[in-house]
Amino acid sequence: MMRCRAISGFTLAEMIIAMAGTTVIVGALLFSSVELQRSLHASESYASNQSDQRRLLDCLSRDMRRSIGVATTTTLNGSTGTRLANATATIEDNTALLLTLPGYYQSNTPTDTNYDQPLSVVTTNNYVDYGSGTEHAPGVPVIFRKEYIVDEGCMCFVRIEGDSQSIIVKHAENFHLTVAMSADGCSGTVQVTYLSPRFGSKTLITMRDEILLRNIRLD
Amino acid sequence: MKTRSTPRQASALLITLGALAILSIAAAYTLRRVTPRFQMSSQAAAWQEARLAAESGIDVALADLSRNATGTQDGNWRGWQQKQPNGLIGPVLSNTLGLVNSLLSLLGGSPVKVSSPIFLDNLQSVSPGNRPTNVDVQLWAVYPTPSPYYRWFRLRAMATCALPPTATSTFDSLEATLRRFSLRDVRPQLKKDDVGTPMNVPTPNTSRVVEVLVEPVLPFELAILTDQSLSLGTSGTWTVDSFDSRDPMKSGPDGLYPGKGSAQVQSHGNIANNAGRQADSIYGPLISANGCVVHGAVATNGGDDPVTDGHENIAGATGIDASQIRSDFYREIKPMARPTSGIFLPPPSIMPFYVADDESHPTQYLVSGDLHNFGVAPWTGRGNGALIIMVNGNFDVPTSTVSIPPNITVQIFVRGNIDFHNRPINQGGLAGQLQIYGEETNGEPRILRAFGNAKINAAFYGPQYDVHLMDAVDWTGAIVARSFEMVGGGNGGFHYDEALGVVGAPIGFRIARYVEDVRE
Repeated sequence: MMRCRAISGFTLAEMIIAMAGTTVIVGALLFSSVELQRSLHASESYASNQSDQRRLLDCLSRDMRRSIGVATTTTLNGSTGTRLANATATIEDNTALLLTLPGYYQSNTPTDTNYDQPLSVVTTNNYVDYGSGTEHAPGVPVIFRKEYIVDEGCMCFVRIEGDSQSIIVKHAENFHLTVAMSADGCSGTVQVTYLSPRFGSKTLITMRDEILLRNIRLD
Repeated sequence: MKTRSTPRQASALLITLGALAILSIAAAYTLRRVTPRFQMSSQAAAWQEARLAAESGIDVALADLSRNATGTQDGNWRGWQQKQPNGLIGPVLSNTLGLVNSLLSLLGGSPVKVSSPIFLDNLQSVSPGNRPTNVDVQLWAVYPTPSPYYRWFRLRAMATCALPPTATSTFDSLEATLRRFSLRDVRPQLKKDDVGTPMNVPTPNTSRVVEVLVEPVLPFELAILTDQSLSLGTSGTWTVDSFDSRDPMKSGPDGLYPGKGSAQVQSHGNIANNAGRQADSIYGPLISANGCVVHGAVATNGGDDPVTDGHENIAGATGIDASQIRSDFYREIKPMARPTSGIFLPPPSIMPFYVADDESHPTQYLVSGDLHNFGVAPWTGRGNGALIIMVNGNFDVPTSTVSIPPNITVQIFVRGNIDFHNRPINQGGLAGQLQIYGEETNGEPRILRAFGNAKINAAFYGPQYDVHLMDAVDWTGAIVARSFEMVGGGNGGFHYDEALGVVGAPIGFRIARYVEDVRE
């Protein structure tokens, strides 16, 4: 007696239908994957930009809060500044923000051993302040500038204190910083906006901080 | 013949699971990159909270300064601690911040004397998210002059705020440079600010340090300051001006008032009023200038409509520079208590000549009844002399005068009324040499009065006293009172001695310098 061997396979119609279904399913999966990737990339970009904005805002706020002078400058070393009061300045191109901090440390050279040591208090005309001998310490100029850093190959926001320069934000091409001082010059609003090139001039993220100057301005 | 049908098995489930796995891996990869950045937001928030907590510590210290360091004697500094001579931590001793008995040190050649520190240890607070926060505050008294009353204070507060338990190090070096979190161990440099008992905020945490220099608010920083009404002379020729007895270019011979119209006369005769308007009438006069000429600023607590060009807060302001009118002033003034410690001598019995001692420890007299005209024996010691007279009754000078030799300061604490009649008071002397303090009245009305051609060189501080001057009284010095009224005025005036800006015991404190130690 002969045993019949089962012959199995897919018919052409089954194959075609299966391929069509697979195409639809895989296509849907790919589309979802691409969109998911875009969404997650946007989230990462948002988080990264927000982190940069917050860091710039916090760094600037920390210095501005204790400053005794707020001005804008167009010179590289901040030798000349225009007092900022009842006005708004955009820190862009050649315009930098010049803050004068009260003298507090024994040295402003990072490599010195007393770089982080505070000065003593001294008195002049019955007024007490930090200094040495019988003189109060002079103010320390700090410059915030947006400039192209060759080593980084991109626009960066930098903080310059004396000969020391530190980068606050890299890839700052689309970041914009404005400082608005009140009429009495005792408070200010710092705003950092991010403009995405993909959306033209539409602002995507804005972070703002209101700062009350804790010291009397001497400028 | 039967044929056996082969079982057909599908792989849809496997394909689906595979697709899900691929998508999940993609999402997990991205979340792995994004989550730390969002977590950094939470850590940055804790970094912000640490500064706020440090500033809160400074506020607590300032409140305690107002309670314990105003007036002529220190309070008991409850809650504060210090390192005792035996090295142990204990409550503040009564003389820790004193000029004479404290451990003074000259720091780095500075001529400023600084006391030993006292501190508040482990002030607890809770930040949003129930993050424990710990604040340590240190306080030093700074003496820029030999006076035991004129003290600055240095306050330093370190606040440590806990980070989320899952806090991680930032992969961004720029962020790490700014925030400087303590993830496992606290930076050694922070240990010296963790005074007393070590802080109990576990790692990971973040710390920030804020330091301020606080200057005393002295009682005679303004020419006239009142809590309620202020009415200037009505004669039309009565003026308020200033001079500086310390500067020959700004004063007359021997540092006295150079005379109305003199080139040495200055324009810092500043007057101010604390009184505010009623809620149903917020714009209106608070000072009656009555056409007086005021060479200085005039400030009120509101009353000026910012929309209008005129200054509604000053009535009769024709003699006042409009650019010198302000409406944002308020300064708390409280009666100053008399000293309660030390030796109190009875008043001299034979001749009314009081005897001064060195200004670092003035002689103290107690007059049980009224005080009348008196003199002070000349000072023969080094530097300056000082004496304090505490009067339980009235300070009444109907005849003769009050005479104070050079280089002597007299402080008079009075519980009763003060009446100078039409007498010259401290003529030939500087206003700062005669400081009169009207004490707490417990609701009883108290006045200071002078009339006629009285010429008075004195500084008066009586927040609960009403001052009434009449006719052609001429006052050189300063007045702080509940109310001030000059009826008439004649050719007299009020001449503020700018040297008074640095005399007297403090009535409050204000921050003169704020820094954050960002390099520690």
